[in-house]
Amino acid sequence: MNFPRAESADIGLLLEGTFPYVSGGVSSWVNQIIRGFPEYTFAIVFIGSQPEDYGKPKYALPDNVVHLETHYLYNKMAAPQIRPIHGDRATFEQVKAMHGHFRSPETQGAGSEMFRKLIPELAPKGKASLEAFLYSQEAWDFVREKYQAYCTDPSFVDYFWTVRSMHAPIWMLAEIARTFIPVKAYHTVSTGYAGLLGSLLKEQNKRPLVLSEHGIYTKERKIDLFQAQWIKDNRNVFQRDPTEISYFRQLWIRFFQALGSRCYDSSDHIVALYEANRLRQVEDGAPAERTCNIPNGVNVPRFAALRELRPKDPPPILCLIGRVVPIKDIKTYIRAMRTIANRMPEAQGWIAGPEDESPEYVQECRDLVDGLGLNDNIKFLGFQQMTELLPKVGLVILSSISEGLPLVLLEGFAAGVPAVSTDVGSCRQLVYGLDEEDRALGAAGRIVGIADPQALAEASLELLSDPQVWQAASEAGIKRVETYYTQERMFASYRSIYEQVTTWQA
Amino acid sequence: MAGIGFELRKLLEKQSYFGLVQAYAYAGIISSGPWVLSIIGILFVGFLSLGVVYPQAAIVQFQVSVTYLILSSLILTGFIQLGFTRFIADTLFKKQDDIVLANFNGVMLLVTTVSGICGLFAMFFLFTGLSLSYRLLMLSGFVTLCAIWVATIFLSGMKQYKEIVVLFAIGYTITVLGALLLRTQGMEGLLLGFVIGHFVLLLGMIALILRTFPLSRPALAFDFMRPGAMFLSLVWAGFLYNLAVWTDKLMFWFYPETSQHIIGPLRASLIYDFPIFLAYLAIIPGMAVFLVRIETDFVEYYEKFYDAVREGGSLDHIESMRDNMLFTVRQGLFEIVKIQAITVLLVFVLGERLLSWLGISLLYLPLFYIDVVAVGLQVVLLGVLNIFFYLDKRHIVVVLCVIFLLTNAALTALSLQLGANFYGYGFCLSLLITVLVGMQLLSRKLDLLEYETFMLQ
Amino acid sequence: MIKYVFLAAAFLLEISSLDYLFKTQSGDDLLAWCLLLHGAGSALQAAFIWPFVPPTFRQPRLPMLALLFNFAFFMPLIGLLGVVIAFLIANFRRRAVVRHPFASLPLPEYVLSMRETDHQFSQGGIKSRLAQTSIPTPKRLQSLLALQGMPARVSSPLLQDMLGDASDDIRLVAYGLLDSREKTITAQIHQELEKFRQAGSNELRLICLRRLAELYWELVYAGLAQGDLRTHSLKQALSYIESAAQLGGEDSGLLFLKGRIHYELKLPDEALRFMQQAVAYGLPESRVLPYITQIAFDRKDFKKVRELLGRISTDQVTPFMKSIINFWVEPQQTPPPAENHGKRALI
Repeated sequence: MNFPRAESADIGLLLEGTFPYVSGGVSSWVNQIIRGFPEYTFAIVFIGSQPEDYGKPKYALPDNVVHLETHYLYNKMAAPQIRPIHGDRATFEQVKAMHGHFRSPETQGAGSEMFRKLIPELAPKGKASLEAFLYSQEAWDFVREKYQAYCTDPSFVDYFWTVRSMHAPIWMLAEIARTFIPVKAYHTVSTGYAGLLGSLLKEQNKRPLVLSEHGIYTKERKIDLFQAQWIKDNRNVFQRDPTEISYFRQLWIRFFQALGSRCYDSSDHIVALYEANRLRQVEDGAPAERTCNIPNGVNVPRFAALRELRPKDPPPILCLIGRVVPIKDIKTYIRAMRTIANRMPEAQGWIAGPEDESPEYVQECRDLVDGLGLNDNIKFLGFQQMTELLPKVGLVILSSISEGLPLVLLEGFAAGVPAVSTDVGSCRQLVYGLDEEDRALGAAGRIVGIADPQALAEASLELLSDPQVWQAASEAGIKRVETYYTQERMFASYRSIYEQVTTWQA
Repeated sequence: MAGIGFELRKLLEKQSYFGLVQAYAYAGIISSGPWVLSIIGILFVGFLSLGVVYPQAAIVQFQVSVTYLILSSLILTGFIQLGFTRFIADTLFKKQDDIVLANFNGVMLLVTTVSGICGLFAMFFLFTGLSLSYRLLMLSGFVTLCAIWVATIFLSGMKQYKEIVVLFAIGYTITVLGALLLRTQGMEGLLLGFVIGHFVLLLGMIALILRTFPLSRPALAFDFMRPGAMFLSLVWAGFLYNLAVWTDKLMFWFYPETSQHIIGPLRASLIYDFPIFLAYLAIIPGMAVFLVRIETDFVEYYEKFYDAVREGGSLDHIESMRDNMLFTVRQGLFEIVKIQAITVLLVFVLGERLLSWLGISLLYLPLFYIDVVAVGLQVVLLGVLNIFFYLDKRHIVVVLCVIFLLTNAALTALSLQLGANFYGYGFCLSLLITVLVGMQLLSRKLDLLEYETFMLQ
Repeated sequence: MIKYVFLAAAFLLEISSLDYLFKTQSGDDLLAWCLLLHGAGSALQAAFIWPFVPPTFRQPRLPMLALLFNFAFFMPLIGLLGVVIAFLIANFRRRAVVRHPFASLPLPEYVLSMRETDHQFSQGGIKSRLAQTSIPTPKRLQSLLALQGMPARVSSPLLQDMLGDASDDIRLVAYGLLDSREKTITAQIHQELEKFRQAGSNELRLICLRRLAELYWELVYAGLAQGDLRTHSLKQALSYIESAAQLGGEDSGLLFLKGRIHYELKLPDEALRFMQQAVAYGLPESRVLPYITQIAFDRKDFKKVRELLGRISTDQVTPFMKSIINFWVEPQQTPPPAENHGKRALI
């Protein structure tokens, strides 16, 4: 694979696990933004877990992407050769103090200040180098001390390796930051590792940093971590307190929270998709004066053309568009299809989205389809072009347990397809409207609770079985998209931000 | 927990004074059995031959020949002893029991071939002019002894100490009986008895080993020769240790003022040899304590420590196991020192009577005293080295062996220069230095144990 | 035949080499001759003895022959013979492998070195704490996590309620807990199905079918399936019981389960019938009485309720149940209690 390389660019896009290797809402949005700003050149850093997890790029690179580099965090890192070294006492004292500050929300500022000072020391010969972290006696004492003071899980060896594997990517990111090409401004599309990279770059090169958050990264990680099976809990029956989650889970959650804080702290513009998320960012430590909302927008004319292609009566076809991953809770959708098929045997449930991300979950879903005897009613289509898919579909379904501002709903609306969605993210706002004026446009579908297959089924049946209700929802959707969620509105907002940051002078 | 440690612990768990005595006695027999049996056996053959074998010099020739056989075979197999023990231990740990036998056969082929070729060279180039039967017996004895040492480390690696002692007892009984029957044939007769006794010993060991491990195809393999199968550090440590132990003796044998020509190329130092071999009998109590302390107390906490590390013990638990390990090491080494000190005092009190009872000149007495101290230190060194092996600090073992070798050579040379009053002090001082350095390193390594276990492995 | 020629030749060679030993000269040329003859003799001996070596020890051929030669050469006479005897011993008189069926285990050590976590509240009142949205989310989250320690049947409805909570975190944790429970049972179902497919005998198949029926029932019992899915799971369970019956595995346990499933499917007549059959097959009556009573209660046959409850021995039931029995059975004038009380109390 030959990636474009350049000496410099206008905007450095920092992407974690999305464009161009993974398809999905965020990736489409990134694609949209890059193509929407042909006047700027982009340099992309892609951060992934391991190369094996990704196949070929899912998106063709736009011409204005002049530079692309990929890095993998869990790649067998060429760890420096094992040898005992002496750590710098004073530096470790600082690190200790910094961790102390991170522990409470009030002292985050002081912690960030210390973190900034430590950034140059992350370099290979620095006082806080990877070697010092891995092999020095001081680091050992540090880990020991923290374990004694805080760890409620008895297993020291698990604690030790959790701490190690958790922190190791920091040095890798520091290395990426040192070698990245000069750009006028950085734009990261999540906090987390990419956000930390943004923070490192900003502090190191003193160029502005923009953060656009679609979901709340920290929150999504939290969900992953609550469900992750790989995190150990070694407490025995006497030690276990049912009201305490396993210490290693807490550790990981706090780690990602700390990553988020660094990014909020360094960002000049913090963009949320909708108000609830903005408030959450502020709650998590984002300075309110730097935050704003820019909702997603879609290319309405492109989808408007599809309305004519659909048969007059709504086809009894439900479609969930999204990656087949646990967060989309595809199983609830499949279960709902059991009820729907009972009452409307001709109904079809499609699942359109790539299945390569979590093969295990895909298998569980297929087993469920099998177990519920739905083989004739449910089809796994794999990745599909929206423009080909939407004309055939009667309802867009979203059964996710967490979302931001899902593009698929907007695209469906633009194509005249109503939606039944769970009450997550901004879905309620999209389906029923935000303010008085918006709500007056009517409901573009239905909102149901999460993990409630019965309600999902009832709502879908209600829309599919009554053409008049369906028609009203379809029209409401079209109006809402055309009024509030056009691509032009979104581009205009970002244009003003990009103009500010690319022309900023110290 | 298999083998010796288990049985010792069972004896100790009786919690009675008798149980304790039993445990130490058992450990004493097992740890120093082979060594003591061979010294006593050789001395005994000498006694039996007095007045029967003529000329009397032939007895000395026999004893010196046997000493050379033991020394040279130990040094030659030193290369493979530790490395191969470790290879077998790793193999058993990996549950690959079925390749053990094949590798045993492989190592037997290697050892008999290499030692045979070395022996043949010696026969032709060093022992020219000596009788054919003497030369062939020496060749046979050399190859047999080499094979025995490898089989011994094999069995002791499997902690089959009891069996080793029994086999040695049988082998030396035959040696003595053989000598009794064949002593009329002179020196060659005694040697033939020795060789036959060792044949039997070796064959017994082979039968025992072959019976214990699962049979497999192929029956012979050289897995241990693959690059990385044996640690190079262990190969050198084995060789250097054996060389170091014999350095002072070799120097005395070839220093004109302290040695005389015995037979062919072989020289010996009558003034030096006798006290030191006698002194080696004084290590029995030390070895017993060493075995009890290291194989029970130390190993117990050693296993608990690594279990806690691997299986997710809390840090407090890990550290307390480390502290216990440290404590047992200190206590074990201290006890070896104590018991050897008592032995030394006893020897000081009884030495004179002992020597005159054995009909040995009292001129040997000062040298005998210092040798008893020296071999006591050697037990301590063994203990220290053994702990380093448990901790897998192979490079430190090599360093200690080098220190031992160099100081032994240098200080023995110095003592030879200073004259008869200082004989033995070189060896003793060299051991003292090595032991002190070893203890210093051990204390440092144990302090850093968790740090190194977690951060540097 | 040829091997005896080997033996004879070897014998001759050894004799002639032995001859050298008794010569008084000791020249190197003599030694060389002696060794040469002895070497040839040893090679022939090794060749002679080869057929007597157990086959296990004949591979690899050349190195093993070399080993035999070495023993013959360096340990004349006794060496070769001894090694072959050792081989034979090894081959035929293996050391008995001692198996200890009962290993004595050391007492586990109780490690007290854990940091004490501060217990902030008791487990009681979880429900009310969860319901109060004014309590800070982290505290409510802790209450939610405490549900993990409770039986699924009790906690599942609570968790289901929390799926509609205003706080994202609460919703997600509740979802995660329910999902992992459901996943565990589904995974077990799949394992059993796999076992069923591979089962080689009717006994094994019966065991699998029974497990499958129980697992589907568990989904319903633990409150993890609602609406149509609940019906679906119940029907699955029934179908597995049917299959088991066809294999002749119907017993009181399965009949009892069948009765309970039919009750859940709102088919009280069938439920009653299967319960009675289960008793006929040997199930203690005390097990089915509460269910039969419930059915009588649903039919508003209060006289029957009182009579049935009277048959339940108060020694065998929970204190809670005991109070209900006391309430019903003691002679009294008050009319039967409100329906919801009885309903909640009985199953």
